[in-house]
Amino acid sequence: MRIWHPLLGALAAIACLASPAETFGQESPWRDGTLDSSMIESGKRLYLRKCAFCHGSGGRGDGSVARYVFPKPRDLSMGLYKIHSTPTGGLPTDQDLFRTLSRGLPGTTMPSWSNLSTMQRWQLVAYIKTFSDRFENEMDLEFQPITIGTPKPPYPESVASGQRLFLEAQCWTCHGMKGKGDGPSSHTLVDDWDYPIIPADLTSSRNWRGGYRPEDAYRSIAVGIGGTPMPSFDDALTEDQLWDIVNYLLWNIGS
Amino acid sequence: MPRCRWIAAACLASLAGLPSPAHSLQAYAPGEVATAGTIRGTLTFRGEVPAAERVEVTTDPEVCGVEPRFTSDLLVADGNDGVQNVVIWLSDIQEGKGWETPAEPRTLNQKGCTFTPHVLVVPAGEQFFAVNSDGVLHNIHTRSGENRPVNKAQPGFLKRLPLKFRYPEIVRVECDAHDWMMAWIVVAAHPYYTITESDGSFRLENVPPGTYTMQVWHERLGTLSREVTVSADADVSVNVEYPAGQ
Repeated sequence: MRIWHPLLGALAAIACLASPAETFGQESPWRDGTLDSSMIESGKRLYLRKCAFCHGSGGRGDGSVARYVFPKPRDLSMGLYKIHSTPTGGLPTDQDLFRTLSRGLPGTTMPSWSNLSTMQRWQLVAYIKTFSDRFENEMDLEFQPITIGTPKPPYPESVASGQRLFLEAQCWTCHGMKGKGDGPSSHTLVDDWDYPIIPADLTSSRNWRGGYRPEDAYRSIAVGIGGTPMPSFDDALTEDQLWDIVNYLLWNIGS
Repeated sequence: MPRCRWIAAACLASLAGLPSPAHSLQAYAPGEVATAGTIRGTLTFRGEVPAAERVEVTTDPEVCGVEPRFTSDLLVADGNDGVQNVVIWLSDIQEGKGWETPAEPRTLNQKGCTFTPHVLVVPAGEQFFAVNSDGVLHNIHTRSGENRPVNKAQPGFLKRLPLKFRYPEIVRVECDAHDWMMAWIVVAAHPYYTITESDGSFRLENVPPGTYTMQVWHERLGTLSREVTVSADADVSVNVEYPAGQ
């Protein structure tokens, strides 16, 4: 086990806080339920120009360059998105989709679309939701976003506990003993479309699909990464334990 | 087992052939069954049985074993060509018996890195448990049509994981950590569901007199249906043969 140094903790904490100012928490323009069709139409025009060559004109992940891309562009027709703040199997919220569009998916070819205006990104959110009727059919209250509390300070005890839990919960089965994505099951994994997929190398924050703020890492472990083998650990670990693993993984970056 | 796309396609095709769960849900009313008969029979397969697939064990060999595994999704008995793990149910029954309360909760056990049973019937909306008898990480990763998919980790220290599915359908379950592990959960709208034994035999008991559609589903062989008429206090025999080449 590595020796803890307070300076490293401080650096890790600064790295976590140093993510660019985000406006992802804002409400969608149709918060009051008035999603007008012009919004969807504008989103469609944008989608066909910006997104269709990967995700396909029908949203099925079969655009003209899809075959050259790894991991495969997501098929958006099943409502299964990698990043969702709802429990496993849940739909992403509008804010989840907006955030993913704005930030992109690190470690994949999905770029940040923050060069588009806020309104344009919301138009895209409005349009891509039309690819799956789950967004119409599952508007119940059962699947609200999980509550993410205040991050636990990355004290050595928390990091050590997180490392222990990483071993006990066998995160290493896929992610490897050092978190480099080279565990014994790493080469047999497929996504929900049966395409091969590899576990993220967690020693580089550039690979953390959902972002590397402590809250992002907490969410990814708690609810999983939709449509991939990364499961939800919500039933298996307490909130405290989840923060410990987050602290360990952040400490482990660069190792 | 490498999950080839054609297998997935076959499974999805099979699922697509299932009756709409919404219909099953609204129709059934449990109650007293005054007079009843039994449907019995055997499911057989005529044709060449594909060889079992060899799978190398790379993960948790101390629990899963070090020897390669030979897995097959089509189990045919030597003597009578009976097919095991075929799901049989009456899709249009509207009233009949209620569910029996089992002595122990229904469970999907993960033991020796194998799901047991391979096909589990659970009532729609009722809680059941995934049990981890192995003490190593497994995960319950489902693929479904009507129910929300779930992917829940079950590390070795989490012995019992509660699960519940709301809508009747057949849900595929896999463990990503051990890629040969696969099972099916039959989410049932009523108790007139059964699974064939190792010799392909089955029984549906306490069926009120009437004419029903009997659905037959196998993960590899697909869906068939037969019309069955049940008389009071009588056994009706229905033998079904899966044609070769499917």
